[in-house]
Amino acid sequence: MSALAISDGLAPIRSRFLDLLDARQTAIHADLEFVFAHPERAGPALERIMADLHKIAGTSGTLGFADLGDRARRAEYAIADLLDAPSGPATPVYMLIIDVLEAALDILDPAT
Amino acid sequence: MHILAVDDDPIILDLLTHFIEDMPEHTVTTALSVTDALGLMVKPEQPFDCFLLDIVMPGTDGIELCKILRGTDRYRTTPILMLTAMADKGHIDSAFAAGASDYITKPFELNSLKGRLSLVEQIAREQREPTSQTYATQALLGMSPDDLADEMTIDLHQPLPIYDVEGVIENSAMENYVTQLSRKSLCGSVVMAFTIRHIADLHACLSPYDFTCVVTDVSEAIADCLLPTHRLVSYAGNGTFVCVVEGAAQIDMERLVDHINLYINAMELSASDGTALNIRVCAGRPARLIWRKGDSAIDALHQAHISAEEAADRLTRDMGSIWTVSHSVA
Repeated sequence: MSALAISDGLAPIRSRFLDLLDARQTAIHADLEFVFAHPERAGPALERIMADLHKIAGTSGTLGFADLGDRARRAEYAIADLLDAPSGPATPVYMLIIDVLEAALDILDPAT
Repeated sequence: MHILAVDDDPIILDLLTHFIEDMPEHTVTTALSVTDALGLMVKPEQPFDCFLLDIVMPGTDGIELCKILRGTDRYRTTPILMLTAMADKGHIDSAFAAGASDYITKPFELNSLKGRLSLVEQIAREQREPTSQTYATQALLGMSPDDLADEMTIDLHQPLPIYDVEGVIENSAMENYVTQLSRKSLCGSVVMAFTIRHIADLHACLSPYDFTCVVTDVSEAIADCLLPTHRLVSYAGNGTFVCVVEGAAQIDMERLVDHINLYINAMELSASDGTALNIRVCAGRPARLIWRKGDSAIDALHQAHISAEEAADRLTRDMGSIWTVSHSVA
């Protein structure tokens, strides 16, 4: 199968990925708002964000969104480190999550 | 091969299905959870030749599923490829310790998936061949000594798969482990090897069943004595075990070897006919992996292997020369 044919074959998967990306970025956004509002109870929300980022990172590169995947992976690891050492600085971690949300929005709605 | 892919991300399963459909030699079945996967496996008419398991899944994860599969007769040696994020060394170590054959990093590409599947297909083919060392070991461990077929043999120089010993993995998995892990991940780990002394004599004297039991018991002694460091051990053939140990700042090899030999001695190993076996190991020079990758990491394994066997030969020669030296001094 040629590279072009593979690319054609991936189109429906890419479309499904974008649908899921939309849902995932909405969920991450909601969890991040909760984290900002209730930092003392941030753990479960951060774990949910990490799980979503893990999925985004796992498939983005294969579907042509390598930059999004790299950002998601960085944010995922940063959250893991923060959960391991909760006394560490949280703001840089939240900035990395926002980075992912911005990259996702650029893909989902390039006009904005 | 008939492949079962398990991942909680439907996009990963879509991608795997899409890529594998392009390989006429393979078919794939998918499951979104371990529960679904186990449901597919109870159907005896649908055995799988290979598994692709996501490591991180909610509830029961891929590592647990790997352990479950290795605990079954049917899938004890079936190739298991773990799907994991890059640089996720903690998970990778756990996966190999649970019995994984190799891993694929996400995101993956068609060519890398193809390459990895063709490698494991070769392993799967060997599993199906009744003359293979793996089959022989499986058969040996599943039979009583009295039931052993006379023609069943174990090649002294071939690696032997060892089952149900924590921290001990197949030799091919060990090579995959050091080949695939990034330089950064392996940096600081130590490679070392231990050889059972007079292994050729033991091999000649013992039945295949007893020989396999000795190798298995010694592997357990080595793996236990290397605790509490994180360690992986494999049997590379010719009585030699290679080990990758992480987090050992300094190693007193002399004490470690003494510890292992005392441990083996406490096991009171004997042959099936009750004859006591005096099994002792010696070690080669340990080597720290510093910025090694790919072939150079494999070279480190081979060097450790050679070093341990040279140490065994040297000890035998030295023992043989004791009286000569004493005589000439006198």
